[in-house]
Amino acid sequence: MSEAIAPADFPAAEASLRPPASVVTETGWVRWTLIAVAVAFLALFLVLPLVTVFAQAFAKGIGAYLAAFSEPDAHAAIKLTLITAAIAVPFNLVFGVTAAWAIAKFQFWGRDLLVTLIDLPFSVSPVVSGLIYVLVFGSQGLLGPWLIEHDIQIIFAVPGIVLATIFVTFPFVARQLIPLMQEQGTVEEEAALTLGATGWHAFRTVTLPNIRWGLLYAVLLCNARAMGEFGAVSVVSGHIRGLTNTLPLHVEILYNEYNFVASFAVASLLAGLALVTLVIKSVLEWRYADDIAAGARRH
Amino acid sequence: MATPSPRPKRRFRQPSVIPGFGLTLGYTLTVLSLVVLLPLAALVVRASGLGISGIWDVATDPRVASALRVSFGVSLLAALTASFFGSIVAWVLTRYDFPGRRIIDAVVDLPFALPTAVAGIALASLYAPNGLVGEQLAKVGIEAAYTPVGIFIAMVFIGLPFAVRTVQPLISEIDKEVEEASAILGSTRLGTLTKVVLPPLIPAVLTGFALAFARGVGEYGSIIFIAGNLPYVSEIAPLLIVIKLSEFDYAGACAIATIMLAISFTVLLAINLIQAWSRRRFGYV
Amino acid sequence: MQERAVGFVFQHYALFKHLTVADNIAYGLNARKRSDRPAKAEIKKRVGDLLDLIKLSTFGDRYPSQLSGGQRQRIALARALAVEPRVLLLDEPFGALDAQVRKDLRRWLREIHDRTGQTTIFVTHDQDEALELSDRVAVLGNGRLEQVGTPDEVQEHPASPTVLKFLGDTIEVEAIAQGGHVLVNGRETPVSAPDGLVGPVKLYVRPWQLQFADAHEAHLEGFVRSSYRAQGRQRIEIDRPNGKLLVVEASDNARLAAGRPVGLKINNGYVFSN
Repeated sequence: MSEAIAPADFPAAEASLRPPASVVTETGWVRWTLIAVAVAFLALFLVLPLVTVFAQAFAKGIGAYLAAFSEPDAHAAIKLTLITAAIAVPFNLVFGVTAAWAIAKFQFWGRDLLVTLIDLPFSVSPVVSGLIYVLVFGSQGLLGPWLIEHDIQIIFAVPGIVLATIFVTFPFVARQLIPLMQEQGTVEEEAALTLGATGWHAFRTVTLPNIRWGLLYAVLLCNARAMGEFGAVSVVSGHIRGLTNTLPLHVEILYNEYNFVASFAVASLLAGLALVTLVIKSVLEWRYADDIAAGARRH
Repeated sequence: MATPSPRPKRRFRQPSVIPGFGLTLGYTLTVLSLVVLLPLAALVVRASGLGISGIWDVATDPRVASALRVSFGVSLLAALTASFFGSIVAWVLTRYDFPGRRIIDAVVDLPFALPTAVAGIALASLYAPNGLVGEQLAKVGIEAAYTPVGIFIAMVFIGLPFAVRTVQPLISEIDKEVEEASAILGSTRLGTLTKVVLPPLIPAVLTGFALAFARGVGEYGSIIFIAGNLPYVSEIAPLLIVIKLSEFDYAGACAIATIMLAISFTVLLAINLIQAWSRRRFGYV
Repeated sequence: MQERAVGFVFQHYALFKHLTVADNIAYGLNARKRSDRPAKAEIKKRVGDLLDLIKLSTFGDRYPSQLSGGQRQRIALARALAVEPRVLLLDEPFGALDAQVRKDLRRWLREIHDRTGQTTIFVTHDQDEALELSDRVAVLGNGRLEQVGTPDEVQEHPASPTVLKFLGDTIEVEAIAQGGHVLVNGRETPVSAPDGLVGPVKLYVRPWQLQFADAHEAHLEGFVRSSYRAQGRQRIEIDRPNGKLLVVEASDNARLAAGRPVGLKINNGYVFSN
């Protein structure tokens, strides 16, 4: 029988069994170089432009900044932007929830195709989004003659702007809610039904509370895009000052007139909105990650 | 509770006790058709009215061809750049910890949240000859604003979030044990990175690239301020569509739009194929 | 579905995670039309009574995520009972719980049932559960109803091999019915054949209906493959000549070496035609 092996005979176990730290991560200087490259890149391409907006807006002082908002055209632009968002966002909200219900709570042939179709506006260029509405509602469009006959103006008027905005922000709520509701399944709703609730009651008291954070998140993004949309709205708007200019279009007009301070001042409003959106978005992601999206982050 | 039963014949939908299917599906299809499908169909109808030869004529018009070259060419370069740096950003944000990481992570989404017109004027004023960066570039002889270089910069700006966000989830899911196994088997860090860690990320990088590319091609607001918009030089395809519309050349506008849509859908298809290949090769998307 | 007045308890509880325990239990009552709904005070009392019944009286303000699996299932039951259904249907309700909790809940469910007298249908694939809990058992196989009866009936007079095999370990033995008796390997067993049954039959024997015996009494023989201890008994694996494995239990002090030949005699069994 051999002698018992004493613990002292073993080399220090920890150190020799794990690979040395340097082979499971990059060496210090490599890491810091990469971090520096990443941060510098982001600073140059992303942060700098953002800072520029505010720097230019206040370049001539607070007085000039505020003067930009006293213009009636600016007021009209703000009003139009708010009205557009106030119509487009709820419309897409209702659509998104309805579509998510149909897609997530039932199994039927063609489901995936439907989801792809709903996603279409995302892959269409903003200018093309506006173009297609001109093709339908413009004076030379499909419904052109009919509209002229009934004296209804869609293109180069507010309705066109609202429609184009609806198109561009169409998938936002649906594509956020569909995976979320699919992950949540139908068990709770079924339980509610067995307890005697009507379908509508179950939706109100069971489904909605379960999706509330995802809904808020989706509405947030939808709103940011609705208020900031430029390309599609530019095509259908006609750029009539005081009538068919949203805030982004107003920014363009001021810029093209070399009224830089005013242009950036109005732009700072939109940039501020973007920052608020980002902050709330981040907070929602940190606190309610499981409740807003299924699995990995989606856009 | 399920008991085996003879194979059910194919039906449109599986039975369910949840109510509201007919109503919600009907509403969904109706709204989808009115808001999305009909207007897009109008484009397809108009374009098919031109016929393939008509569209080809428009596509080969020198000005149009230039605009398409600019849009697709610069977007390709920009998407490559965005993908490269975006991957580094994604890696750094996921694998390392440093002060301000969370804030920087949130900043990546800025191009998503910022209205395109705001980004456009900011970039234009920044890279103009008298702008903060433009001035420095002028010293080294680079003209940024009002040239394709400006277009490039704007396209990198908008493509970046795609490049980062498609890769990030995969990086965070990398199996540390596989890395350690590679190291224990004697590989250097570089070897582990290139042979073990990076290959599964390739599909995501490709997808991010494709998305950034597609977005860059279609983008309008962020680009037209910095672009210069000189025909044949720095004019992008979306701008040409707007110009043709203002000239009431609906046909021309439709033709260009159709070409752009066709390429977008091809890119989408490519993305789906990449993801299918990735699923077969690596077992996940 | 709402009108059928069936109370349902799901395998994975399906509690409303955003509602408190009390609100969960009260859900069915609150979901009624205004005209059918009891007063708020009445609902509160009903919830309180049910919480007492399931012995979770102080848990009313908690959320499902704060509770264990066993507690959640009890609340699911209370929630189903709150609307006073005509029938309560439990679909493998303890399937997601671990063995000890399952045993405790089984006992608890039986008590609740005896207390409330609620007609209850309990679906399970665990035959111990079925036999312990039920007044009547229905055995289903391949979508067919094989037998309905009391637990005793079903065990003592199984209507088919399916029922028999479901309700416990069985050893299948080829046998011959002759002259009112069942013979195995040429030797008579105490099992009598039903009237008129002659020829090859299938004899199913429970492990405890076997006894070690010498060669001159044994009906079955084989070689010990292994023998190990489990829960205070010896479990012995025997290889039979027809290739099948037979597992029997013996008292703890039986020690049989591997490879040793053994004989088993059949004391009782169930006969079915081929």
